[in-house]
Order: sequence, then C-alpha cells, then structure tokens
Amino acid sequence: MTDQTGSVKKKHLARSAEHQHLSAGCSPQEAELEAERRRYRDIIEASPSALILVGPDGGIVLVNRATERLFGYSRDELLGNPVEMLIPTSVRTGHKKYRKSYFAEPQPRIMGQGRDLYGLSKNGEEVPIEVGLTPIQMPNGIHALSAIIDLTRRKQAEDALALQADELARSNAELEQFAYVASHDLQEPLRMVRSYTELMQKRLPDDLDASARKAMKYVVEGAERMQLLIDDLLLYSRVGRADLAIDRVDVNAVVDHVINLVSVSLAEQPGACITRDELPTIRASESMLVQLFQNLIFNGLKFHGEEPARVHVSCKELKDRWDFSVQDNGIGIDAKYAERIFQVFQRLHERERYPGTGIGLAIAKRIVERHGGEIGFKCKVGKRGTRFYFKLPKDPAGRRGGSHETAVETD
Amino acid sequence: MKQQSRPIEILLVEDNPADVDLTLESFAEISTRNRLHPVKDGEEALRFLRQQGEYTNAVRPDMIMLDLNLPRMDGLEVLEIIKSDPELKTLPVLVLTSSHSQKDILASYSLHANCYLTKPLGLDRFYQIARAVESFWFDLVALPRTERPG
Repeated sequence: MTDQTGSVKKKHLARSAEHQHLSAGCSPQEAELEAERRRYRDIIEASPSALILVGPDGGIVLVNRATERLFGYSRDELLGNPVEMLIPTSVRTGHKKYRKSYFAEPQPRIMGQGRDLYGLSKNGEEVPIEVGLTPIQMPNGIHALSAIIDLTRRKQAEDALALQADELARSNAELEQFAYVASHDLQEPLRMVRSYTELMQKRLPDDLDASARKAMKYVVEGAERMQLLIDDLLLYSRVGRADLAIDRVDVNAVVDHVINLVSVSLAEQPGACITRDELPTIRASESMLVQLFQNLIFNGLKFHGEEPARVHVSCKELKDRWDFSVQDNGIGIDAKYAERIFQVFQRLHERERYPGTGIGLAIAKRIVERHGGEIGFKCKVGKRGTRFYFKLPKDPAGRRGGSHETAVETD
Repeated sequence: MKQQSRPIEILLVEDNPADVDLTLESFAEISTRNRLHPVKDGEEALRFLRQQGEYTNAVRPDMIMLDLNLPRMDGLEVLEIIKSDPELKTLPVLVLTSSHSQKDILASYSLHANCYLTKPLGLDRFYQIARAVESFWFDLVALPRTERPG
C-alpha cells in the first residue's frame, strides 16, 4: 500500500474491499488505520455525486462509482488519464487554462458559475453537469476534488417547462388575436342583419299578424344582444392586449369621474348614492382604473335589493400594496359562485331583472391581474351586501404586459 | 345653398350593395333634394369625377362619400388621388366606413379627408347621419363654387 506506482494504486482504489485480507497480519494500529480508510472510501463510494480527485498535473487520481455511472467509463479507463478526457472537445483547451489558474489560487467554489457546463461521456454524449471544486492537500501537492451532479433530468424538466411556457404564451397571444379578429369581423354582417330587419320592420304592413310581428321583434332583439356581446368581447380582448401605460393616478379623481359616468343609472334609482373615503394616488393605468371602478361601482348599483343602492369605495394602505374595497348593500352573492362570477359572460340572474352580458367582472379581474393584483369578494352569510376588494401592488412594473406583438389597434 | 333649386349631387363610392341600398334609403328618407350616384370601386369613381369612359356626361358632384374597404384600389388611395388633383381637391370627401381603427382615422385625415364617419349600427343612426350630413354640408357650410370646366 505504500507502493505509489499507478497500476497498484489503481487496483487498490478499485477494489479496496478485497484488500481487507492483506492487512490481516498487521499491528492493531495499522488495522485500525486501515478500517478508517475503508470507512472513508465507503463514504466516497456512496456519494450520489460523481467525485473526481485531480492531481496538480491534471491526471485523475481517484473516482467513485457515481463517476463511472455518469461518464460511462470504468475506473481503470479513467485513473491516471488527464481529466480533460471528460471535457467536451470544444472547451478542452479552455479547461486546461482554468485548471492551471485554479491550482495557482485554490479555494472551494462552484465551477463555471453562470455558464452551462457539460461533461463528455464515453459514448460521446455531452451531459449537463454542475461541478463543485474543493482543494485537497495531499502529500504530493494540492489536488482538486470535483463533486459533479448530473443535471440531465433537471435540464430536461427546465427545457420542457420553458417550452410549455412558450407555447402557452403563444397560444394566449393567438387567442387574444382570435377574439379580436372574430369580434371585429362579426360586427360587419351583424350591422346588415340589424339595419335590414329594422328596415323590414318599418315597412311591415300594419295588419301583419301578431306572430310574425313577434318573430321580427325577436330577430331585432337577438341582433342587438349579439351586438352588445361583441362590443364587450372586444373590450375584454382590448384590456388584455393594450399596453399597460403606468402613471401616477389620483384615485379620488378616478372615482369621482366614474360617479359622473354612472350618473344616468343613479338618476334612475331615487335614493341611491355612491360615497368614497379619501383615496390615495397610486401607480396604475388610468384608463384601466376608470374601467375597473366603473364596472365594480356599476355592479353595486345594479344589484340592489329593496333599499336604494349604496356603494362605498375605500382603501387601506399596506407595506407594498393597496387594498381597495367597493362595498354595496345589494342582494349579495352566494359564495358557491365565487369562481363563476369572474368568468366571461357568466350571469347569475335572469336577464329580465338584471340586464347585461355578464362580462363586467371578468374585465375587472383582467385589469387587476394585469396590474399584478388580485380581486375577490366577501359576502357575509345572512347579511346583505357584497364587498368587492382588489389588491394592487404599489409597484405594478415588471408585470406581464400582455401580447405586445399583436397589432395595436384601438377602437 | 338656400337659393339653389338644383339637387345636391353626391358621389357614393361603395362596393357593398347592401350598404349602397341603406345609404340610398337613408338619404331618400330624409329629403328629396339629394341625388346619390353609387359607383362600385375607386377606378369607377375617378372615371366619374373626370367624366371619362361611360361617365362623359356625369355631373360634377357636390360631395363624395367614400368607403375605405374597396376592391382593387382601396379608399385611401382614391382619397390621395382626389386630394392631389387640382381639379378635384376642393370637393369635400366624407369617409364612410365600418372601420373604427385609429390607424384608418389618422390616415384619412392625413390625406385631407374632410370628415370621417363610421357606419352606424341601427337604421335610426343611419338616418341621423344622412340628416346631419345634409344639414351641415349643404345648409351651414360654405363651399367653393366650382363649375365644370368647358
């Protein structure tokens, strides 16, 4: 065991377990020493990371089972050879240089940080790896211990994930584009249906029978309704596509402006009122914020109960976000519809009583999410009224900006 | 044009027969003093304006209503030709289109369209446009008096 020649050493390293008997006749101290060596060797062999000890000349001095598994070489093929045999040819020269500079200033570190590293296996495959380097003082100079982790699986998972993310982004962009084009192009024939049915209606003889008249009415109503749906779909798609123009926005002014906008529906409901606390100035898209408050406030006004609608807007400041609330005293929402109410064209009530296409809250949700926030509602059991809340981060920058590659066309 | 007894001549450049009928219907509904001349594309419109081909005896219109979405030569090209022709550029051109796009609005005004109208959705709105166009452009606005050369 004191023999330092390569072949004996190789043999020793390869089959330390078989050497047990050689030490049988040694002194107790030597036997103890040998047992300890064996334990260390077992530890090295048990490591799931490939371990390679490289001498100052770049020769491989020690490997473990994981190294054999990772690179496909047997121990005998590795020991004594330059470590560069495990480095892809394209970076081999570079590696020699790195190795020399490492031995000049050896300290524990991760190899090639920020770069993708590859090892070269016996069958010529390049294996993605991560390498940790530790200098080890040996009797014949400083050695470098490489602990190598096989990243193949992690890499595959990452690649698959990146591919999925790409595909998702692409299919989202396509969907947006589809919704826009579809709704835009659907307007044209619809305009004809509407105009000409109205014209026919106008020219119908006065004595036309009641059922024909009713049929005409349904055609006109259907066309009008489809028009509303298309308009809303366009609006919804626009909220997703438009660039998020972040400005400093005084929310007081936004809410006052919205109160002005909904004044017609206010006038239709005697006693209805909208109030607000003092609200902050925040960073957001002003036009989207107007749309958001308009939809939530209008919602509160619309779904009123026996009493005149009361809607109140308030805001709480937290460390890194604003929590806005729009509280009403209306008919409330059953918690089991929590998911559904934010979906496009989902309605919980019959049209006759509460008209609308059911897109208002879907648009509100989209606006909040484009700002990187969350929206939800609270409705206490047995108590009237709903509180819609939305949380907006103080810094909405760096959030997803929608699909910018689609043509920006505003209508 | 209060004293004028001759009809208001309007060149309508529109390829969709349903839209032609609607426009004719709307202008007929609001008054009897207008006369619409529908043509189906830009080239035909230019022949009409320059009294060429089948239009050697065409009247000089008082106004042009121009759709943007036309076969072959599109509406913006027609607009550009009209507005760069010294004989034609004083004619008011009203763009009447189904496009709501900012791009089209901007391009139209950049090429000196006199106004941009989007085709309305209901019949009543169509009448409203006809009424507004007639009363604004022919009762309120002063237009240069142009005679047919020759």
